[in-house]
Amino acid sequence: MGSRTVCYVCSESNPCKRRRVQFDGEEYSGEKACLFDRLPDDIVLSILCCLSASAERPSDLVSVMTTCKRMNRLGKNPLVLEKATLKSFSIRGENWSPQAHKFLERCADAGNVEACYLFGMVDRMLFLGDTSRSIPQERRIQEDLSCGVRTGRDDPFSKPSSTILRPPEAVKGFKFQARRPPDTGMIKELEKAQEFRQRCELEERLALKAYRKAQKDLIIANERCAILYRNREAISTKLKSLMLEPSNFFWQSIKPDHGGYVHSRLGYHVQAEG
Amino acid sequence: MIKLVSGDGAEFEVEEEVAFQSKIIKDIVADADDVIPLPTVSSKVLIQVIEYCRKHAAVNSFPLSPSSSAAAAASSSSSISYSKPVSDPALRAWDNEFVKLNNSSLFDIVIAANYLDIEELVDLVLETVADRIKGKQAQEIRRQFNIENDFTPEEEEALRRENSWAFQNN
Repeated sequence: MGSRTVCYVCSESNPCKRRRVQFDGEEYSGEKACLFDRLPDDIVLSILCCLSASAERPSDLVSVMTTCKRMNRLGKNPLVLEKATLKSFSIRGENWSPQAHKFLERCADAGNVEACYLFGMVDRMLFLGDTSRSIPQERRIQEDLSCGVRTGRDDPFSKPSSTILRPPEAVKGFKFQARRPPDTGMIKELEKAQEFRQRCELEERLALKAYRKAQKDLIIANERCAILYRNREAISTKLKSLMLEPSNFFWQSIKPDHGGYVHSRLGYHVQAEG
Repeated sequence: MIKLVSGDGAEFEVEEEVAFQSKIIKDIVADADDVIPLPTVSSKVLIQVIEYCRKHAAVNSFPLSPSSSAAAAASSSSSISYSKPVSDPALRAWDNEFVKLNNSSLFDIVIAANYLDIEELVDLVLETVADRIKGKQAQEIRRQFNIENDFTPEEEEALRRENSWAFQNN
């Protein structure tokens, strides 16, 4: 078959002059033009779908997407990303990057069940963790996740986690809607919850301040109370002692000339007597 | 017998069950005569397609089970269908031999098969092409399919940075 060139435009056996024959092993490409140019978008999409559905590593799909603009555009089609296998977006933790995260998100948006699950796990763990989203933490979490995804090539102990990471069979069979609509709801809910939490925290802080103030006030009040109580105690003991003392001593004691003082004592005495 | 006329005027006589591997021909025959012009298909490609149909008609004619036709109906309802695994290992082996063609011929066949609506053949070729793309570097794929790199160097650099995660050893 390689001995003769067939022009694919005019379907004749004498080749057009400007086209060159390139022998490439047992294959030849009779045209200089891109072979994919002859295929309509839907067939190229189908090829990419086949590719993504059977991809064994992330580079399988990404390589072809970097060949030309058309492939790049078609490769980002949700139809292709929806079919992408788990292996086509499983990345080791140390290789995790925002770009990889974006790719995973795109797959999840396309309704890819595996990507939805993985993306949800990553997102969830990030939200549960420090809200500052520090990179090392992100990496660590992804490492945890990806050791399950890595299909246990390195260590036999990753098997249990890989079974945990996979969505349940019932979920797999279920046709997923695109992830966006339920997710925006969830994000909104989450935002609302966080707002609520902040408000609660603020209120708690105010309450704590009020409580501290109240406590301080209580302590002061208690102190004053204790002082007053002591005063009362002192006065009442004085009064008792005065009452118990024989009146003659009382009278004797006021005999000496202690002008004002005598009067006051007398006053008490009179009152008590009365 | 049904007469198929290729784009370059060659006539091919095929049995009904062979021609009926193509859903389009089946529909056309239902309300037309037995000479079917296929102006967009060259005779070289048509020979290959008929060869495929002949083989598959022979194998499929015995078990025309309702389940397989139901599956075909189900898969045709979705816009893109995937490998219904060909059950017969001998037929599978024959298919694998059949697709040992250069990319250009494969593409011609897939265009014709798509036009004639021969689902199994389309799937077979698409899978083959996908397999040829798989596991290759972008440069290799470009060379293999004559894809012109239409990115500017800046765009290519940005793309390389964006996709570097996929090329680290995983």
